[in-house]
Amino acid sequence: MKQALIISGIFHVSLLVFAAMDIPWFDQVENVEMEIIPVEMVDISEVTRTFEIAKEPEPLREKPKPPERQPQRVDNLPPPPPRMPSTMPLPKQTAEAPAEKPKPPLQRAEAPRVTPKSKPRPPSRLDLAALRNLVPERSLEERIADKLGPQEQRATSLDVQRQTMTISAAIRKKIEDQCWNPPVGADTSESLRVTVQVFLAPTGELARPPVAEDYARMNGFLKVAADSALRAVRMCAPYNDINLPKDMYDQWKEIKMNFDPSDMVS
Amino acid sequence: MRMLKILIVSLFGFIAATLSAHAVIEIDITRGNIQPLPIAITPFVGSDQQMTTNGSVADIGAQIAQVVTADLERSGLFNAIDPRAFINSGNVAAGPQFANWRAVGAQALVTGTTVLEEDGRVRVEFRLWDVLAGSQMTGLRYYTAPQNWRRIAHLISDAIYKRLTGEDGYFDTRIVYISESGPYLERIKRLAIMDQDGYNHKFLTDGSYMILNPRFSPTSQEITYLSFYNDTPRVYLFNIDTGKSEMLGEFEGMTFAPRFSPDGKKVIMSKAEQGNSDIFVMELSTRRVERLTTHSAIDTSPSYSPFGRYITFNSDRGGSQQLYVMDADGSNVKRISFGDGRYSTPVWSPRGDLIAFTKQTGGKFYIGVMRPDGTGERILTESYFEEGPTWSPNGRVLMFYRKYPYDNNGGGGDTQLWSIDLTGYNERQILTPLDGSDPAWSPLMD
Repeated sequence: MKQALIISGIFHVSLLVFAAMDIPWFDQVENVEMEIIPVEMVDISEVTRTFEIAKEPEPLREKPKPPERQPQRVDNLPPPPPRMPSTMPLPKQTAEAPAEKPKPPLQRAEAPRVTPKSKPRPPSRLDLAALRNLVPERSLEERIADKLGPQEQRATSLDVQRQTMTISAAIRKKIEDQCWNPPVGADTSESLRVTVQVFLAPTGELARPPVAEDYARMNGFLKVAADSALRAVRMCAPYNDINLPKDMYDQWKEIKMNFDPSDMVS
Repeated sequence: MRMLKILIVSLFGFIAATLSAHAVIEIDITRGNIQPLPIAITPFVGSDQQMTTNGSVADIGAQIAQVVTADLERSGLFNAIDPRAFINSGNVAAGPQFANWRAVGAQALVTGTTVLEEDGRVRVEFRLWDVLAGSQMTGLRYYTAPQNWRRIAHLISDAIYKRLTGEDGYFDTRIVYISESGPYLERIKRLAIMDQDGYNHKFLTDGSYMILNPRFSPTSQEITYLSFYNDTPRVYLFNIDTGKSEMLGEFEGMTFAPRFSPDGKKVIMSKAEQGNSDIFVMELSTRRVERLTTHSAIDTSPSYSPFGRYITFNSDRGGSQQLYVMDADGSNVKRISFGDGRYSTPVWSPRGDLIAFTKQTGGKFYIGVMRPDGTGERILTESYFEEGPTWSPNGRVLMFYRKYPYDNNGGGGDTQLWSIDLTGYNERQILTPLDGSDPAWSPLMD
C-alpha cells in the first residue's frame, strides 16, 4: 500500500514536471504576464538584453536582508553555512542555494546574511561538485532558472524561447534570401519536402556535412530537391554573420531544416 | 523497492530526453530565389596528336564542351561561367580543385576526356561534380564515330540536365518544320529537319509541291504531314530514316491537321466536306477510319492526351472558336476555354498536365497554356502573329512560329521559329537558313 502510494506520488510529480517543461501553453495559461511577449519578442538585439532583464530581480530578493537580527543567528547555527558554498562562485546571487536544493524557505532567508562573509567558500566547493554529479547535464535554461526565483523562471524560459525564435528567424532569412535556389522543373503533384540536419561549430561554420534524411533512397525530383537544400546549407556557411549567442551553443549546434518548395513551384 | 528504483531512473531518463529534444532548433524554409544554376563546363581533355576525320580529339573535346554549354544555357536553367574566369581548367586525372571552382562561383562542374580508340571510334567520358559538396553527381562514357560528336554532346547535355533538374532532357531531339521562301503570293514551302539547336539542317522535299502541318510520331522517327502533291491535299506518312513516304488513304473532301496518337499506331485528323469539318481517326495497321465528331460546326486541330484516353480539339460550335475536350471515342464533349477571344491549335503536353494553345484577341496573338479542365490559363508570349505551339518531349518548352506581317491582314513578312519555356521568361529564336513555320518537335532519339 505504502509502495503504491509512493509510486503514484512519483507519477504525479513526473506528470507535473513534464507538463511544466514540455507543454508551452501549460506555461502560458498560468502566466498572467502575457503582454510581455509582443513587446520583447521581435527585436534581435534582445539577445543580450534578456540577461540584464533577468538579473534585475536580484536586488529585490535581497530585501530579506534588512532583518538585522538574523545575522546573529548565523553564529548560533553552524549547519547552514555548508549550504552556501553553492552560491559562492556568484557572490551576489544569494538565491541560488535554495533553487538547487529544495529546502524549507527558512534557510533561504539565512543564506543572504552569510554571503558577505568570504570564509565559508572552501567547504562550498565540495557541495558544488556533489551537485554537479547529481545533475549531469543542465541546459542553459535550467542554469538561468537556478539563478532566479520561481516567479522569474517562467519569464526566463520565455526568454530562451524568444532567443531561439530569433536565431531561427535569422537563419531562415539568410537561407531564403541568399542561398536557396529551389528546384523548378518539378512535377507539382509530388511532395518535395526535404529535411536536412545541419551541424554547426561554435564558430558558425559547418561542424560536419549536412545530412538530408533518407537521401540514399531518393531519386528523381526528390533527390534534386534534396541536392538544392544541401547546396543552400553549404552556400550559406559560415553562419557567423548571424548573431548566434555563444552561451546558447547547445541550442543551435544542431538545426533541423525543412525545405519545402511547394509554394514556389507552380 | 526495485520497482521504485526503475521508476526513478526512467523518470530521469524521460526528463533528460525531453530536455535534449528541446536542444534542436527546427526551421521551415519555404521561399527561395529561383535562379539559373552557375555551372562551369571545361573543355574535354584530349590529345592534339590523335587525329580523326573531324580533327584531333582535343578539338572534338573542346567542341563538345561548347555544344553542352550552349544546350544548357538555352534551357534558361543554367548559367554557364565564362571559361576565361576559370582559375584552372582542371587536371582531370587528379580530380578537380573544388576551392578554385567555388572561387569563381560555380556550383556544378563538368569535366571530360576524349580518346581515340584503336578501332577508329572516339571514347568520350564526362563527370558532373557538386562543387560545394566536393563529390561526383554522375559520370558516363560513350563510344561513337568521330562525326557523331555533336550527338554525343547532346546526350551529355541531357544527362546533366536530368541529374540537376530531375526531368528528362530534350537536347537529343530534332525539329521538322516548313521552310518558306519566295514572294508572298508564290511561297515555296518545303519540309525540313534539323537538330533542336538548328544544326544538321536538311531539306526533305524539293518545294515542287506544298507541304503543311508536319507532325512527329511520339514513338518513332516518322512524320505525318499534309501534302498538296498533284494539287490534291492528302495526309502522308514519311519515314526519316528510309526517306520513303506513303499516302494514308483516299478521302473524299480535304483532310488536314493530322497528328499521331501517343502509341504511334493511329493518326487523328480533321476532314472537310461541303464546308463542314469533323474529326476522324485512322488506325495505321488496318487503315480503318472512324468518325469521332458529327456536328454542323467546324471541328479541327485534334490532339491526344499522353495516354490516349482523351482528345482536345477546337470548334466553333459554341458560336466562337474555343477549345474542347472529349473522350477518345468521341463522347462526353466538354468546352474548356471561356476567356475572351478565339482559341485554336490545342496541343496536349507530353506530361499531361497542360494544354498549349494559340489565342487571338484584341488584334494580337498569344501562345498560352491551361490545365485540361480549363483552369489556370497562363499566357506565355504575345505578338502580332504567332501560332502552332509544339511541346518538347519533356513538356517544359514550347516551340512555335511568329510572323512579322507587312499588312494588316497578316500577309507577307519574315516568319521565324521561336521557343519559350513554361516560366514565360526564356524566349529564344531558333535560327533557320530560310523562313520557318509550323515546327514539330521529335521525341528523344533512340
